[in-house]
Amino acid sequence: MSEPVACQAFRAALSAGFDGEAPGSAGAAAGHDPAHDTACAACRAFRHDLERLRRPLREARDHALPGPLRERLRQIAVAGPDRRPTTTPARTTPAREEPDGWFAALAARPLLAVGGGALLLVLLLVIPFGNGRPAQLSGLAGLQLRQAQLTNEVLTVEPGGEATLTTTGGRSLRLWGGPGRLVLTSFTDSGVDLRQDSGRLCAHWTSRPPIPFRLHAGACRVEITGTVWRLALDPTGESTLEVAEGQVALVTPSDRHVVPALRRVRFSPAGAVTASEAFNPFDDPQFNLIPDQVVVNH
Amino acid sequence: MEPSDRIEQEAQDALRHLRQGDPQGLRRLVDLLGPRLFSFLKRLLGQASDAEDALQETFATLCAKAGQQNPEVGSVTGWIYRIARTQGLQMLRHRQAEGRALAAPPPPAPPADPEQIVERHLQLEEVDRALQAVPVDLRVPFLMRECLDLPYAQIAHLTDRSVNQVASDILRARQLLREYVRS
Repeated sequence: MSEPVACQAFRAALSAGFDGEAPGSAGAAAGHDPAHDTACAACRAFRHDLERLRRPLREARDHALPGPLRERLRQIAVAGPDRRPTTTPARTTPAREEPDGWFAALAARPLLAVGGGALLLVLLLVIPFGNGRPAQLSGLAGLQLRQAQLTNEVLTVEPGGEATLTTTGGRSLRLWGGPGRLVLTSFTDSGVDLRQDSGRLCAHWTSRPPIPFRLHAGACRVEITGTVWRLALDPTGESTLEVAEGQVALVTPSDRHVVPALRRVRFSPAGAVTASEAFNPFDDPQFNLIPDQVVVNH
Repeated sequence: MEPSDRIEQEAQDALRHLRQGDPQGLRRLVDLLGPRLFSFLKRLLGQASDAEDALQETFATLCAKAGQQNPEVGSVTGWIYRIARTQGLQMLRHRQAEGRALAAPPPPAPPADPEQIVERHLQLEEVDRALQAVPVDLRVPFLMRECLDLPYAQIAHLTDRSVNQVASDILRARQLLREYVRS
C-alpha cells in the first residue's frame, strides 16, 4: 500500500528532524508541510511509533558493560599485542662462536684437555643416576599427580586428572583438562622443554623471573611467556592454541605469531595458521576463571 | 561543549595514554565507549555472545593499531566506530559462512489500523527481535544513530554513502521496524 506523497515527505522530514537533522537532509522531504500531521491520523501514529521505538534503545545504550566482559576488555591492554616481554634474557655471545673459543683454548693446553675430558666422562656417568631421575628432569623438586602418571619422561594426564610439577627454584607447572600426554625433555630452573604429540591439555605456568619455556607441537613450537593456555594438538587435523592469561608465541616453520591473552589460533599439521579469533576463557569450565581474580602479569 | 566533543576529547586523551604504554588508557576507552559500542554490536548481531567477541576484537585491533592513528587527521571516536562496524560485519559474514544465522522474525502481519495510536511501551526485546528483520545495510546506519548517537554526516562518512542516503536508509529502517512491532 503506497502512502500519499504528502505523507512520504512528512515522514522523511519527521525522521530527520527526530534525529536533530535539518529536514533538507531528507532530500525529497525538503518541501514538506510541518503541520501535515494535524490533519493526518496515520502520520500522527507514525510520529508516536518513532518515539516508542526510540525509548528502549536509548535506555539500553548507556547500560554498563557486564562485569566479566569489562574485565576481558581491560586485560587486552595488559596482555595485548603491543606488549612485548621485556625480561627475556639477552644472549651476550653468539652461540656459534662458543665452540671455536673453547676448542681453541683446549687445543692450546693438551693436559687441560685430557683432564677436562676425564672429568666430563665421570660427570656423564654419575649425574644421571645421582637422584634416580633422568638428567633432564634433575630440576624437578616436586611432583603431585592425580589421575596422571609420569613414566621416565612421559607425563600422561587422564580426563579429570591433574599434575603439578615444581622446580627446585619454586617455579610450578600445573596441567589439567586432559586427556593429553607430554614428553618432558627438560624441566629445570634454567629452561623448560616439553613436547606434546597429541591430545589436549590446559596449563598454568608460574615463573618469576621468567625462563625459556618451549612446548614443541608437531611442526610448530610454542614459546611461553606466561601463564595460562590450552593446546589441543591433532597431528592429522586442525590444532588449537588458546591463551587465557599472559601471552605465548606460536613459532611455525615460516613465521612467529604472538598470541595474546583472550585469543585462539588454529593451525594445520604443516604449521599454517588458519584462524586467529577471540577466545573467552570466562565461559570455559576448564579454566574456571573469575575475572576479578585473574592475574595478568606474571 | 557538545557531549560528542567531550567524548572525542576524552577518547583522544585516553588513546594518547594507551600509545605511551599506559593500560589505563584502554580502561578509559572501555569505560567511555564500551557500553554504546556493545549496544550497537549486540543489536547489529542479535546475540550478546557474538557482540562480546566483536567488541573484544574491536579493542584488540584498537590496541594493535593505536600507534597508527593520528588524531590530527581524523577523529578518534570515528576511527573506533569504524573498527567496530568492520568487526561487526565480519562477525556477520563468519556467522553466515558457518550457517549460523539467527532465526528471522516471522513476516509481519498487516498492521491492524495504521491510524491507531498504540500506547503500550515497547520492550527492548521486541525491538531487538524486529531489528533482525531489517536488512544490514539499513540496520547499520539506524543503529549508528540510535546507539552511538552519531549525526548523519558522520554516519555517511563511516559507511561511505551520502547524507541523503543515510536519511533515507534510517527512515526505511524505522518503517520496517514499525511494521514489525505493530503487527
